[in-house]
Amino acid sequence: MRRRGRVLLIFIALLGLVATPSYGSYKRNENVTLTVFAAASLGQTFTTIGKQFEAKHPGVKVQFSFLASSTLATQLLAGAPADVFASASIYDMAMAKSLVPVSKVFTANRVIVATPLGNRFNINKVVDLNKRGLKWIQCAHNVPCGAAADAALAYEGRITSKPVSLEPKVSSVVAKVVEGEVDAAIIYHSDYIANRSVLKEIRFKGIAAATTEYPIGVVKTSPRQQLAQSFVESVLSAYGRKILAEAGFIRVN
Amino acid sequence: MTRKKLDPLTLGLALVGGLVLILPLLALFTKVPWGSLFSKLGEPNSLSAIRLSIWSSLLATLLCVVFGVPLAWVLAKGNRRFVNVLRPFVLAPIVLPPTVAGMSLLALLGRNGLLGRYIYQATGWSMPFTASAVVFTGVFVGMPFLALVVESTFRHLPTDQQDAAEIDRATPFTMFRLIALPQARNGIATGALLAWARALGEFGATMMFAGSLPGLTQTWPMQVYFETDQDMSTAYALSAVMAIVAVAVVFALRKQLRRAFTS
Repeated sequence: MRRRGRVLLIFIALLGLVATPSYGSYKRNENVTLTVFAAASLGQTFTTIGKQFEAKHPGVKVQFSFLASSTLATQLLAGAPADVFASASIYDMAMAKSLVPVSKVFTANRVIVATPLGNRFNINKVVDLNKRGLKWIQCAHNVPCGAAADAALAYEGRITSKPVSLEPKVSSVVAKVVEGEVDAAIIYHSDYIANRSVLKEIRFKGIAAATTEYPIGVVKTSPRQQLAQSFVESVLSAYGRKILAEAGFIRVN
Repeated sequence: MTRKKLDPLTLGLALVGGLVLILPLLALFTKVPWGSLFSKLGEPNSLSAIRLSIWSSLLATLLCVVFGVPLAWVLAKGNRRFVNVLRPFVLAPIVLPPTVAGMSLLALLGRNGLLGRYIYQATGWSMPFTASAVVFTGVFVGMPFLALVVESTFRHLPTDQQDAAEIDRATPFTMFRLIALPQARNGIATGALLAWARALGEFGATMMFAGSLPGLTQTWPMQVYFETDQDMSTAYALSAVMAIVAVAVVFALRKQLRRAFTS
């Protein structure tokens, strides 16, 4: 009898786990969690903007998911509960158009070649990527930073070497070049700015080819439309733009 | 054999438990594009990922056997106090989160790693982003399974032949090679199959340590991950075959597994 009681207890505990709501309750307006899906490259800036947003909206917690925009778009379409989507490419925003019908470009970014300071291959030009034995990486082709890298490399021409890895998101690429695990990587200018003390930047010739635009919008199915909209506005605000510009993002009108 | 009656509470809990394990797999098979299965698997990226995974996991299994069987022998026959300290470390990768496994491998063999630093300085070569890294990861995650099963096999071998050999003054190496190894062949096969399945399925640690490049380091499970952003039906096709392989392995080993974990 005692054993049966114990089994029952465990069962009840498990039921409790299953029944716990995972994305915050939204019955009352305080203690709300706003879920923002944002491109991996927005990690630092959006965290800063999110802190300020929380300070302005007491009781609101901003929860971020920073992944490749293509991954986030897929998750959204598969029913992931997000309130705001900020993509690093208009194409991934277009992919999620059924869920984010209205979006606005709020900034842009440019891919560049980054190399660890003091790297033995002494990379000074993009074409140095061809050097024998040099290992360089970029994002996967369907991820915004990968698509921009492909376009920039195609415009540049003469690059005959291949990356040794196509990473799932730009933050993985940045981590590996900052660690010196590779000799070079194609990352965003904003990633370079954040790691200026350990990296050197080499720019591509084709500025337009290397540039990607970042749209942001409210997810149609969000039960927190107003709050989501005010988060979007805080990104578009003078403060949001200042944070982004300081981090090396390109201003757009 | 008499069957004992099962009480309804236990049965109910067992039913929930069973469904939790079985339903997801069944659901997976309902999503597979059976009609175009082979064309999905035949896409260049799928094919190169499958090929890479098969050869790298087989090579990893071979290495697991070469080093893991002697390791299991030491665990079974070595100094008990030493072995009791060693065993948890040998088995740890079984429960290590894949990302932590990946970090550990980078910490050891990355360009700035504990050993990798010296290898890189001396030769200009480093393991991350190479097919060797895929194989090494497979060995790291697979060998514990082999060691676990084979040690248990060694422990439960009949002792009469070993005793006889000892009386005949067989050297320890002869004993291991000519008596223990042939007697343990079923256990070794079981361990090798488990290690292979584990190496074949590894994803997180491989992606962290080996990167992902189609044809070089992009393995079958990684291809599943990347296809979810691009073509779900290809991702399901690739998943289905992996699931079939996994079920087949466990099915083939059903008797051995029951024995390995009951004795």
